[in-house]
This record gives sequence, C-alpha cells and structure tokens, in this order.
Amino acid sequence: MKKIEAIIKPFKIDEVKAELQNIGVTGMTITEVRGFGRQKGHKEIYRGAEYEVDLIPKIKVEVAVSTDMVRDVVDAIIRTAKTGKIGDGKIFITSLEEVIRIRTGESGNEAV
Amino acid sequence: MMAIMHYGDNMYGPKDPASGFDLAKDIADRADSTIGSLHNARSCPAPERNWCIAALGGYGRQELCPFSDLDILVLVRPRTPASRIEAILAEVIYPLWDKGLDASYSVRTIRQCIFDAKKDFFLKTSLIDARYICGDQSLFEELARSFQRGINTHGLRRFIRQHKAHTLLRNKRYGDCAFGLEPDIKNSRGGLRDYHVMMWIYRLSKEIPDHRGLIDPVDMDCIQDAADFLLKIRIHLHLLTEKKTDTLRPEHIDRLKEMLGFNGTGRQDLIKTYREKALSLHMLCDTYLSFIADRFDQPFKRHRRSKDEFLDLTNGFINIKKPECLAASPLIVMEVFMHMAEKDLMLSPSALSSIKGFVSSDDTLERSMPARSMFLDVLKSDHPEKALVAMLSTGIIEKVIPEFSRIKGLSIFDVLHTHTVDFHSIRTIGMLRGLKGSMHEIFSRVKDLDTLHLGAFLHDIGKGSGMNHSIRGSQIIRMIAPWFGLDAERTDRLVFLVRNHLLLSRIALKRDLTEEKVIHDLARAITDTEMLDMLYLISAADSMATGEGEWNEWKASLLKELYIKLSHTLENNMFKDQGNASRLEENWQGLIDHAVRHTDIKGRLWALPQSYILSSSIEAIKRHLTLAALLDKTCTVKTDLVERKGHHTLTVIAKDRPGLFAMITGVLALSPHSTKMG
Repeated sequence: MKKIEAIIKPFKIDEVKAELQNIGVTGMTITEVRGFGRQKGHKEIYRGAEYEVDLIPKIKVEVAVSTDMVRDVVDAIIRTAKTGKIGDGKIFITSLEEVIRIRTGESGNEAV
Repeated sequence: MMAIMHYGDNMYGPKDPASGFDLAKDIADRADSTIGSLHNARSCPAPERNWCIAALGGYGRQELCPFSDLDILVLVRPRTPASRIEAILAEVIYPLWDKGLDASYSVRTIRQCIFDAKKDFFLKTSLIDARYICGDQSLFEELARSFQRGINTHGLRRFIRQHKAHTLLRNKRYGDCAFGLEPDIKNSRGGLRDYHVMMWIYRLSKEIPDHRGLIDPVDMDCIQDAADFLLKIRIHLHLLTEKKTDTLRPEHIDRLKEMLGFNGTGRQDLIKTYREKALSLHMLCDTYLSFIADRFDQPFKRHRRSKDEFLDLTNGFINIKKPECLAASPLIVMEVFMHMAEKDLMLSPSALSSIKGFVSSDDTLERSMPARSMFLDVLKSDHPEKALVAMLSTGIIEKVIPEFSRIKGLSIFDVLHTHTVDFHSIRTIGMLRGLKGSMHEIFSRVKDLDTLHLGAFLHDIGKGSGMNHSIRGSQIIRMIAPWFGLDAERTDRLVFLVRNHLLLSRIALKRDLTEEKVIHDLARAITDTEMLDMLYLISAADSMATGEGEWNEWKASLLKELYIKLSHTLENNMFKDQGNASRLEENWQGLIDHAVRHTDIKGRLWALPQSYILSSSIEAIKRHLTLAALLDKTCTVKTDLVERKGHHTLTVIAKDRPGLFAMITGVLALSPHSTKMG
C-alpha cells in the first residue's frame, strides 16, 4: 500500500478529484496549504512598490491506494493538474506500513 | 438515565397548549411526589425535628425538564449523628438513583449553607431558589430567614458583578441563541441562563427597598414570555431525543413542529418564532445587565447634564427624556441609534422600552427619507454592530428596509454558515468597519461609501427565495436603492455589486490566475478601479463574517493576488478606449473562426497576450501561429519578415529559454540596419 501526496494549484482541485474518482479512488483528504518551490515565490509590482509573495496557496491531496494502483493514480493527477506553467506542483509517494478502517477494524488492502 | 416523565404519559399529548412553565411545574411535582412517597415509606417514622429536604436551583424553581437533574439539599441541625444522616440518605436519596433519576445532593447545616454560599457563587444562586419538600419545615424557614438577612445592597452589588463576569465567560463558550444556527437553549446568549440571571436579580432586588424598581415589570413579563417558549422547546427536545439534549439542531425541528402544533409550511416558522423570542430575551438581558451593573459599580458618578433636548447621554447609556415626544418627532429614534453607533453607547432599559412602544404604533418612519439617510450614517459609523442589533430587535430595520424581514431569523444550514442571515449581514458591516483599519489604503480610495455600505449590508437579501440569491438580491436592490437617494447610475453600480458579490472569491479559487484572458475578461466586466475596490472589500468582509474557518491566510492571499492583477489591468486602462475594446473583440472573433477550421492552433490561442491580439492584424497572427506549429526539436527558430511602406517587420518565433531575448537583441544590434523593437 502506498500513500500518494500531491501538491497542486488550487483551481485544479475539482478536475483532479473528479478524475481520481473516475479511475476508482474511493477516498481522499484535501488540505489548504501554502508553500514555494525553486522559484521561491514571485514578486508583484503594486502601485510602484515590489510586493513579495513567498508563500503561495496550493492544495494538498492525499490518497492511500494499493500498490498496483499507484501508476494510474499518478498518471491521473499529472494529466489533470498540469498546466505547463511554473507552480504546477509535485507528487510524493511513500510506503504505508498499515491502514485500518476505524468503524469495522478492517486492515490492509480492504481498508484502502 | 431515566426520564422523570415520558412523552405519552397521560398528562401530555401532542399540540399541548400548556405553557412551558406549566409543563415544567408538572415535572417538578412528579419529582416531589416521588421523594414524598419515599419519605413516607421510611422505616423509622419518628417525627423529624432535625432535618429536612429542600429542592435547589431549577428543581426549586419548579422548572424541570424530563431529563433535568435534581439538585437536592439535605438540611440538618448541627451535631446530628452521622448514623441518622446515613439513614436519611439510604432511605430517601439513594433510592432515587435506583429509580434512574439523576439526583445530586449535599448535606449541610444552615450555617454551612450561608458560609459556603459566600464563597461558592453557584451555590448561592441555587439557594435563592430553595424550596421545601419534606421534613422539618421550621428548619427550612430558619434557613430562609438567615438567607434573607444576608441580602443587602452591598451583597446585591457583588452578586451582580460576579454575574457579569460569569456571563461573559459563558457567552464566549456557548455563542448566540438568537443568531446561532445550533443554539444551546440553556447556555447560549439569549437562552434560559440569561432568564435565570434576570430572575435572580429581580428576586434579590425586591428584598431591598431601595431597589424595588430595578427591573420594569412590563419588561419582566416580556422576559417571562420568551423564557416560557424556550422552556417548552427544551422540554420537548428532551422528550424527543430521550436524553438531556439542550442544543437545538436542524434534524430536531420537523418533529418538534409536530409535537408543538406548528401548522405553517416549512421549518421556518418554528425557528422564526424561536429566534424572535430569543432575540428579545437577548436584548432585554444584555441591556439590563449592563445598565444595572453600571449603576451598581459607580453609584456616585457625576451626572453630566447633556445639552440635547430629548436625549440624555450619560455614563455610556442613552435615555429618552420625554418618551411622549417620540410620536410627534419620530426621527429622535433614529438619532438614538446614531448616537449609539457613533459613540459606542448602550440603550437604557427604559429607552429600549419606549422605542419598542413607539415602533408598534408608528407608520411614518417607513416613508421617511431622512430616516433612511440616518440609517446610512449608522452603517458607516465606527461602532455599527450593537446599534444594528438593537435596531433589529426593536423592528426598526424593517421599517426602514421592509424587504429585510425576508431574511430576519433566516437560517441557511450549510457547512459554512454559523449564524442566521440577518446577523451575518450585521457582522459583515462590522467586519467592513474593521477593514477600514486593516485595508486602509483600499478603503480610503472608495468615494461612494453609501453604495459600499448598502452593498455590504444587503448582499444576502436575496437568500431564502429559492432562486440564486445573487440574482434575486440584485432585483430587490434595484427597488430599494432609490429609497436611499441613489440616482440611476449609482443604483446600477449597487445592483452590480450585489449581483457579483461572490465573483472575486469564485474566480480566485476556481480559475487559473496566471491566465491573462481570465483576468482581462473579469476586468472588462468590472470596468473601473472603484468598483473593484468595493467588490474586494465586500468579498473580504463577507468571508470574514461567515464563520470561524472561512477566512484565513490561504484564501486571503488568493483573493489578494486576483485583486492586484485586476488592479494592474484596470489601471492600464486598456479598456477605457472604446475603440480598443471593440477592436479586441473583433480580432478575437476572427481568430476563433479561424481556429474552428484549423484545430491544431486552437490550443495556443488562449495563451496569447491581449496586447498582441490588439496590435497585430489577424493575418499576421495566423501566420505566426502556423509557423509556431512547425517548431520542434530540430527546428527551434522561425522567422517572419514582412515589408510594408518602406520598412520591414521581423517576427522571431522560438521556444523560450534563458537569455533568448538578449540573444535576439544582440544579433539585431550587430546588424547595419536601424531597428525599433516591439
């Protein structure tokens, strides 16, 4: 089982969510986050003064899936979240030691 | 946990017309008879001379709900043997637990009661309501006398001060009854606790000759009436959920309506009635508590004679000197609220009373333009919220804006909102006032403050109509605006504001802000920087006023990014020139038609800068796009050379890479021709 964390642009969330559900992902956690990458934010000029934006709003999507779904999920996220412009985000994949559904006590692939 | 009584017991039926107090007394009577029978069944029937049982708190007041706990005092004489006490407890108190009743008890002598009450605020309040149940009655009467002896002005003053402190804490924790979407009937502001506080103060003050007139009996009636309704709701809520539930939730409402015989369609009438009563209770308790506390805190304050002929503005409270003049000069009422809002004053209980009396008999305010202008002044003032709540509870807002009654007490149950729409509108104005400080630069640029504040206050007036509330709201606003003296142009702007009050938030969250076209289309719709400023301020204020989690750094930065981009675009005034705007439209249309036939270039269209589209001919753009389509790994640069009127135009099309522009300019600089770059 793997945990896939994706940092994406805020306006992409509806598309990403829909596509993930399409390919069979049944649950996800969404958080509003702020951060920056290699560009370290950007500078805007406002009324003649530079105004630095260093913590840019993004959305973090977290899903837990069985290992055989990882490829499909990653492709789906890239497919829908990419704009080709700076700030599209990143995907992180980690191994999950265990997953348990609280209500039923199921674990492992049944719980994912 | 057992109920003291059950729904369906022979005393009850659905649609019972009995008052809340009657029902509560029934329940208390049942508890009394349970204890009474236990008492009579005791094994040792010797006459009791040394102890008695008394009910305290809610039980003492005979205001019980089916799952209320029983607060019991076992009063004993000093030096009563422990074995005696044990016997009493075992035979009268413990069996209550066996029956499943939630009984809590304490064993005290009279002296201990008085002593402990001095230190324990809650014990003191529960003792005020003490009531004899069984045992040695003369012992109970001794307690009552001792307690009474302790009541004096000093004690009352301290009591009130302690209450004020506790009430503040409680309000922080439990929120609003009148305006909250899931009110705690007992502990919320405007809930039963407030009523209890008023009752205690009323009862205590009656014992002190100087303070008999502290609470006006008419207001007391009003308070009783509201409390009765709340109590009735609470009792039925307990019955409905079969446990001690004090929080009114949406899922309870339909069943409650049935139980209470509310015949109206939709849930709203039960809720509306509830809110009306809670609001009235809230207003009265707030006003009285502040007024009384103030009067006791500083009894020797110097009274400044105010110069105003009709109003007395001393010590932070407004009094109406001659209430009988209100009928002849109705604008005095509006002046009262203006003073409240400008100087952060509170209404005195008598002023509140006079205004309520005036509103019920007056019909001139509805047609008064000066009244509306004064209302606008309240909206724009430094301390608008308290004044607006007072105006809401006395019915003044509906006089000035009849349409407001549509959203009075209206609850919209969704994840975001925590308050009713009327209160949300008032909060929005409060937040807007806060933005005057935190978004000072933008706020100070807005010239048309009337439109701004009307837009903020009435942005949700279309809610509850069943259709899109922005659209409905803008329709209503179109009717209302002229009453406030707005001419046709300003009316249009106000209508636009209300129609689009969610626009900036929506775009900031849902669209790619780096897409120039998104920004440009929006800028075209918004037309000028003042409108943008107003929309931005209202978006922020609305979001802040919606609920705890709705406004945060995350959302704020997205909204700000959108604002800055729009601001740039509008300031560049690309659209001020009508010719530009229409030429841009034409060019876009031509390109779109072309793209329909040549789908390979369609994807690239939206990324093109507006200024490029504006300044180039359609032919040139088509050529450039076709050339761009030919770029690939091997062929990384394409050029297009056009000669016209003695000069050449060279367009270089290449994939972006670091230093590209420098390279091109460098090459051209080396050439013998003179060049002008664009």
